Amino acid sequence: MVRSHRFNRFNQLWPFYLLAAPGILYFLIFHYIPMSGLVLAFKDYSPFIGMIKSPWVGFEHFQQFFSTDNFYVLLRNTLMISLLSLVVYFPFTILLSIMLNEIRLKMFKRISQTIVYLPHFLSWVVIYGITISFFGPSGVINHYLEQWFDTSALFLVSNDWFRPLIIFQSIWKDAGWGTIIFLAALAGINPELYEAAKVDGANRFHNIWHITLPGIKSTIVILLLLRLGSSLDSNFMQIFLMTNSLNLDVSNVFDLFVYHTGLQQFNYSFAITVGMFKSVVSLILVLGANYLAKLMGEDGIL
Amino acid sequence: MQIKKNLAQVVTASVLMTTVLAGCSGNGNSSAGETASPTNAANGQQTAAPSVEPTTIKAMTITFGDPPSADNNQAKADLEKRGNVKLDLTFVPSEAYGDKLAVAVSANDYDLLLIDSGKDNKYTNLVKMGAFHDLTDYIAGTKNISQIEDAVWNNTSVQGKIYGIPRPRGLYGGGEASVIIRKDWLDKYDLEVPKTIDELTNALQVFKDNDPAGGGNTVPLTVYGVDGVSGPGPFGSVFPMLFAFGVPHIWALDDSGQPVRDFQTTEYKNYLDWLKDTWSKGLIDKDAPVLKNQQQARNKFQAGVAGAFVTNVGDISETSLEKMKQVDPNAEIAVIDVLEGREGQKGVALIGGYYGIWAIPSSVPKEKVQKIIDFLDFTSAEENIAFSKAGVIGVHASDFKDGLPVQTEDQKKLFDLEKPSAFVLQNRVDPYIYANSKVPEILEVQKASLDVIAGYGIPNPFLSYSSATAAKNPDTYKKMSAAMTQYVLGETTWEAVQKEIDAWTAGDGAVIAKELLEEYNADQQ
Repeated sequence: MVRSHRFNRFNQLWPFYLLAAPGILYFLIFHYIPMSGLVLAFKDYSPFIGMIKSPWVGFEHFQQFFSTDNFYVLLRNTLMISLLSLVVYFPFTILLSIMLNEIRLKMFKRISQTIVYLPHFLSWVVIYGITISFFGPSGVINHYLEQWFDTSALFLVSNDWFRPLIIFQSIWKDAGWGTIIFLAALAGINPELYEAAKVDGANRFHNIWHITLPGIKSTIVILLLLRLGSSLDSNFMQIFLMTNSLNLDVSNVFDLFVYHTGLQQFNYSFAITVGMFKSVVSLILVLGANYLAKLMGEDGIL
Repeated sequence: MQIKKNLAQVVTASVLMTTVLAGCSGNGNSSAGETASPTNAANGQQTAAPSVEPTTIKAMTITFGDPPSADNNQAKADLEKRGNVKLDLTFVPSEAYGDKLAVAVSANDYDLLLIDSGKDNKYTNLVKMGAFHDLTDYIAGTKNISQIEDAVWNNTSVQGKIYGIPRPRGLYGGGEASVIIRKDWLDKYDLEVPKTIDELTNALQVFKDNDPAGGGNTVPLTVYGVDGVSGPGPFGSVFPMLFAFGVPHIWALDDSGQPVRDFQTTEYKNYLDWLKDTWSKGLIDKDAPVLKNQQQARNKFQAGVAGAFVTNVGDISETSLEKMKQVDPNAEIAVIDVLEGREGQKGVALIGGYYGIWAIPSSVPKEKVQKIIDFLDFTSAEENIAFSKAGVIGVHASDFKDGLPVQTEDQKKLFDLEKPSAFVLQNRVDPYIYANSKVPEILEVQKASLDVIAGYGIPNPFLSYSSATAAKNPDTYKKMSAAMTQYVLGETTWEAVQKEIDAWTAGDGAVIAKELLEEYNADQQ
């Protein structure tokens, strides 16, 4: 009975399976199958001998990684940047989307939206170039600081300014892009609610607080969970360009370390080890946060 | 009915998607077809020319500035014809070379790779992983390559075997041999070409005070910030200054035969103090900490804003001068061959005598290895010296006389565009390789300067050895590098730097020194 029931369901739903097939195949081929490469974290991999013949070394790479002098510095720097981006960049995108949503003039709304999206399509190298010309030691800002106040600010060449600048760059480049999902969620809120609130005498701020925000709450929670999953990743391109020996104390992150040790020195296994560590920690973070979200009565992602 | 209609929509959508996907793979096929076609064309040519089918060599090499023009390059065609090869060269800009190489090495799709950093931990590591063919037996049979000096072979071989062919260069100075300085600026303020570090500092101060570039843009001396991976130190492109303070060439052995690293000496502190002083006076490029390589420093010099920078005589050639004259028609360059210290110390780095190693990945079939070696041997033959300097006679030059090409303006333009020397993958042994000028007067200055520096080589006893510990800890110099930079910028005290140096000496440094000394001693016996 059960079998035939299942078969019936498949018979009915096969077009949907067909629709899902490309996505499922994509994840299988590009995400699940490559995971088998994780065994290399326990081997001393050489691309010239091949995956199978490379010798096993057990937990040696993990041991080496955790005993690196810099381990805590790397962990701290990576988490700090993610945390800052979580508490500054992420709320900023929500704020921006609500602001865009409140614009009543259609034309003006469209133009502003396009303008805030645009920087997303610039490459990080270009953004770094712009940053240098404005914030560099001989950039525009320092030029005027020197001329008017006879002082200079070490934007790019000190530990203090590194994190603010990184967050500022992210906001400038990607905040507009980050609003897309929120705007979609905002469009889904039933307009009748606003009309009803209007009848009850609510002003715009009441509307935002009591209708708009609760309306996109579940979207916020889901995006927050997804962001947590990548809290040990840094934007390699951005950090790689912005790092120099004067801000090294705060700019040295896992991704940079992997680049120097793994890629430049050809220690592939070591790089995979660090990658695996990051994935495991991220998985724990996401599952933990998901559990908390469910405790608070949200849908979560699982 | 409604369900059927929905179904039809779903099915249409999925069919459409599959066609789109098929379209993608279809494109893939057709592009594969395109790449295949040149080989067919080559086969077609074979019937016309009765000789052996030309070998296709896919190689990756470094380029400083623009690569040679790709379409219908007559220099390339000529060399291919004479060498009976088909060259598939990838020219990668120097700024990105390291990263591209790391990918290319493991991708196994090149026949020949230029390892630009030479023999270092990375190279040794790759050799031990079995990345390259052992070429020892092939070299013996070559006519030209085998003329490379034994010292150079020793500097590049791993465990006594040759895994790559070094591109011979001078043994002295390399890319950071001498300070070059704006002669026209010196003349403007009635200054002689500086000989000592104090005269240089003075000249830089005069540049700073008078601002010859205008608008407060003058950068008296430009250097670049090092990332602290290959070694510490705030800046790169500073060898002449280091040697003027008597700092050893990276490593030295003290009287009792114990290894000493450059920054462990008091001379190094004197050097840092000089940097600190010049930095506080604004004589060093403010942008230096954010410049990432020598090319960026060179760009500043060629853009006419910098007064001096460290390079070799290759940069005083007319090509470089022409760029500068576009900004300032009076631009002139002088070379300070060897900068002298307060107590007469001076020197240039005695280096490996090569720049870059050609390695053949082990994925290349054995029969092809011989062909590739033959081609490299062919490019380093006598006949190709003229080719690299004058190109094809009748196309890039009308004659080649006394080591210089005779060219019309048009021929010169074509030569600069097609860059024949870029295709001469392996050059002939030539101590004057950096004397690249075609103007007799400049060429003479270049050669004279190279002759002078050849008298002041400072050896590094551990030049050709590598430490496994250093390879595993790319961050080993980072903290020290940061402290030194902060010290020079006046943000921290000497104690902070000393603390980092002491920490290194007691930790990683002790192991690294021991590993290097062991290798050194093993070779001395």
